[in-house]
Amino acid sequence: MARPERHALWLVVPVALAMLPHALYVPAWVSLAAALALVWRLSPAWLKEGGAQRAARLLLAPAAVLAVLLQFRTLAGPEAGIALLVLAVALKLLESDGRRDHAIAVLAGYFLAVATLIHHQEIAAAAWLLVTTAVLTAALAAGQAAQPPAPAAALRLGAVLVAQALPLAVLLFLLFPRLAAPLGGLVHSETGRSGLSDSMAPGSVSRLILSDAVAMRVDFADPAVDARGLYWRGPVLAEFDGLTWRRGEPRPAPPPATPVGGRLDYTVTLEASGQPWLPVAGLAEDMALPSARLSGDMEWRTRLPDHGRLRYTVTAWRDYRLEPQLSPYRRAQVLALPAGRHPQAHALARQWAEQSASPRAIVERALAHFRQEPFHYTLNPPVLGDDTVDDFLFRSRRGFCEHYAGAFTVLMRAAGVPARVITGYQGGERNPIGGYWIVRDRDAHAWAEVWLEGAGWRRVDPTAAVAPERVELGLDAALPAAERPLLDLPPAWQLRLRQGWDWLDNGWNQWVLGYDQQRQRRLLGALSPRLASLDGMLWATLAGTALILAGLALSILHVRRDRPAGATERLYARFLARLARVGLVKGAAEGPVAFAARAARDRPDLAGPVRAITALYVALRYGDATRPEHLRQALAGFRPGRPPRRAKRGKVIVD
Amino acid sequence: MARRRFAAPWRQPAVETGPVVLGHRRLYILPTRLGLLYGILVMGLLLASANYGIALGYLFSFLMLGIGVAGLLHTQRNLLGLVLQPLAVAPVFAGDSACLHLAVEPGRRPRAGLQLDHAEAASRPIDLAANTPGRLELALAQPARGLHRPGRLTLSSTWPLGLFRCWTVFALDWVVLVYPRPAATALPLPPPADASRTTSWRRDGDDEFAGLREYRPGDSPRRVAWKSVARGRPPLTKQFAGVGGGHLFLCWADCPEADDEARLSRLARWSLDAERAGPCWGLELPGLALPPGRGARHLERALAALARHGQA
Repeated sequence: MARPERHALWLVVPVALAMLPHALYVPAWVSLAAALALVWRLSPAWLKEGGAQRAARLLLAPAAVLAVLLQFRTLAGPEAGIALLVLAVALKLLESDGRRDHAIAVLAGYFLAVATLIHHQEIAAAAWLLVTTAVLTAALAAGQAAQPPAPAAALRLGAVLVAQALPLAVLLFLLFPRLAAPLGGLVHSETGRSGLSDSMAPGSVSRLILSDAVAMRVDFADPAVDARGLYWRGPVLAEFDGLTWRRGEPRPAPPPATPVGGRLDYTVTLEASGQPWLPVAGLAEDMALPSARLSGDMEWRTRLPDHGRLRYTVTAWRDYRLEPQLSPYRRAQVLALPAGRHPQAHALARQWAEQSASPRAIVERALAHFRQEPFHYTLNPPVLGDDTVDDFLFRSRRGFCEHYAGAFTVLMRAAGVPARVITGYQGGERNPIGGYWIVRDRDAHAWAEVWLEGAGWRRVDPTAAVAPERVELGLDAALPAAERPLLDLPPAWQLRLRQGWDWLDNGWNQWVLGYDQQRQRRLLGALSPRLASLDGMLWATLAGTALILAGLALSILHVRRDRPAGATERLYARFLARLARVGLVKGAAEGPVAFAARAARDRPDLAGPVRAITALYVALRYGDATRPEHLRQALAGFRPGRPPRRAKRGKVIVD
Repeated sequence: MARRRFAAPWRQPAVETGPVVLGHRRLYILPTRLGLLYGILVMGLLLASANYGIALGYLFSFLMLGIGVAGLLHTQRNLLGLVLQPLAVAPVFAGDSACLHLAVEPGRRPRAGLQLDHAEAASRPIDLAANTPGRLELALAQPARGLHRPGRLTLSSTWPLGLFRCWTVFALDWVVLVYPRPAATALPLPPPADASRTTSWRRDGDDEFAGLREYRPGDSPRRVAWKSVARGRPPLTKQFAGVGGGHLFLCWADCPEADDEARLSRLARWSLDAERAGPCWGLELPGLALPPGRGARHLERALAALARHGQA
């Protein structure tokens, strides 16, 4: 049966809206097939019911399942499932045209819309989802009316329903008890971020630096902390093959470390990345993240390699003394250099070693070398020759932090000072609205650690010797003016806007997306200690739901009494009420004159005033009389009593 | 559509004369199958959100729950305050469908997707704009002659979301008069009355003035008592008594059929034929006799008598 075209639009457009974001993630052929099916459904050709069409539909369904199976090698899992669902909904639209099919297609649309949360949960995604939900609700309502309603009216209804649903949704969102950990693990989250890598070659960090993406946000317990002075330690790279620095062989237990200096407590919200590193500043005493592990080189990492957004609270000391004793085996490891490489660097280092009294002096000598010789800090170093270290140290002398950290460590090792390369983040930007610090990929950094007798591992940042601005003010201050556009930094007015947006985004991440069991207990506990228990939450959920439902029911179902508009109607209503009290009720279909005649017949004693008042009312209501005063006066003296004795009682007409 | 619902005697509501105003206490509401499916979908989304730890998934599952609840209240609101008024039902012949008309006053809000259901049939849904009364039409097949009450009816709506069905039950003071089905085969009309027939009243004829009766449309203008009209009285028709005036009497006994219902069908057929043929005609049933006459009202009276024959 062909139904009006508007029905088809109400079906296809909302479902297409729900499918749209999935086009970014499902294979291109799935999007194409779904789009073709929707266009076919809308075209007049669809209305011509024919054997060819039916056969095509019969063939298409198994073909779609087979194609998905071939593409994904499975039908389970979110990716294959969503691709299959997109195809199934598109084919379902071709299938039939009943009211029930319409509703089921819309339900599938709801599911598809919510399924986009697997990929995106930002504010914009939530806003899109809210709009799509309203449109789908409008579509569901459009299918239930006898005639498809006007789009504006239907959309208004959809918006009203969503608005009325929101209080309950927010209440349940806040109070519904959360699980300690997701049952089935996190969904794999797509991210363009590479994050800190566990190897370092010339150019690897500077690639990261061109990214404006947020790496993490840090909220310090002490708001006075200046994060620009902090080094966020990531992977420790101790093995060098002449070109690339890599992590050394893993050690079983963390080395002894003793805290020095004051406390430093903070909460890090680390954005999703494909790397397990958890950057930490200072010596972490406690890390509130169940999946966190500490390695033998004091690196923090999570067991989940493809993590989503992570939040961890760290109790730390600002400074520390790490590994005061170095075993000969370990010492050999952190002194190893590839044999026969970097002859010039070896020669220079040997010279420093001979002229210096202590390892400490050698370190000073090297830093002085970087300061005094014409070294330049640049994002665009020239291409280095075969021996990257010698070429950098003695020919190009232009490089980025990884060049300085790497070359410095080679020099130290050649001079007999145990040393290694550390990568991580350094610097950050304070968001003045939220009072937290933003560390971006751009703040990625590499520095060195040298082991000194009695002091353990000490941090040395050779980049600071060349470009102190890098450490003190951040990357953009350290770069030559010509290279700054590479960073694509926003102008000042945009910066303010961007900070505001970041504040919103962070709040969203923390309070909506990061609303887990811990956060729920903390928030509810702050409201009332009783709420923090499961019982308390359930009772609060019940009470709150009842309250909201009562409010909704009252506002939706309350029918205002039909109050007569003008004074005339009010007066006449009063007249009717007085007559009703003595048993004379005007029927719904009875006109005023007919009622007056009946009343006069039933109660002859009232006939005079009833006729008079009705005549006044009729003149006011239908005639040209304009002043209700006469009616008011006539009514003032009208107090019908019970019928006189022996008189027949007025017949009661109940409508 | 025509699903027979369980109709036990205790489910028969009291017959009302209408207008029926739909208040809270008259309305029932339950989820539809689609509503159950929706509930399963919401539960599934909630489980998936818990499974994958998607915070926004919780929010949107609860939002959908809220939409369902708001939809429930809107479904009830859609019927609340409606005023129903039964309209007269035109008589039909057995085998045809009687059309019940129910006038619906929407009040100040628009209403959508209203449908009238009966155990045997359902009306087409209608939408009503605010302050614009409309009517629902329900065609009920009438297989048997007689005076029938349609019994229990429901007015329902699943608008807006189709997740809940809200309905009200009522039995309005509706009577459907069903004439016997006219016999399919035409037989010649019985011969006009002759002297041998004995009847209990004086037959109309042209011979002798017998009295005056109320004017009926179709009466010959020559028989109208114009003198009384000139005096401003309602028109009267002069009646004459005579023998063998050529009037037709459709008699129970004249029917060739043996079966009662078949006889009634035959008489219905003859009544229609006689009315078309022109002369005045009368009807004679066991226990009832209709004096000769003609015109639409006469025919209706005769058919009604046939319809109610043998019934209380």
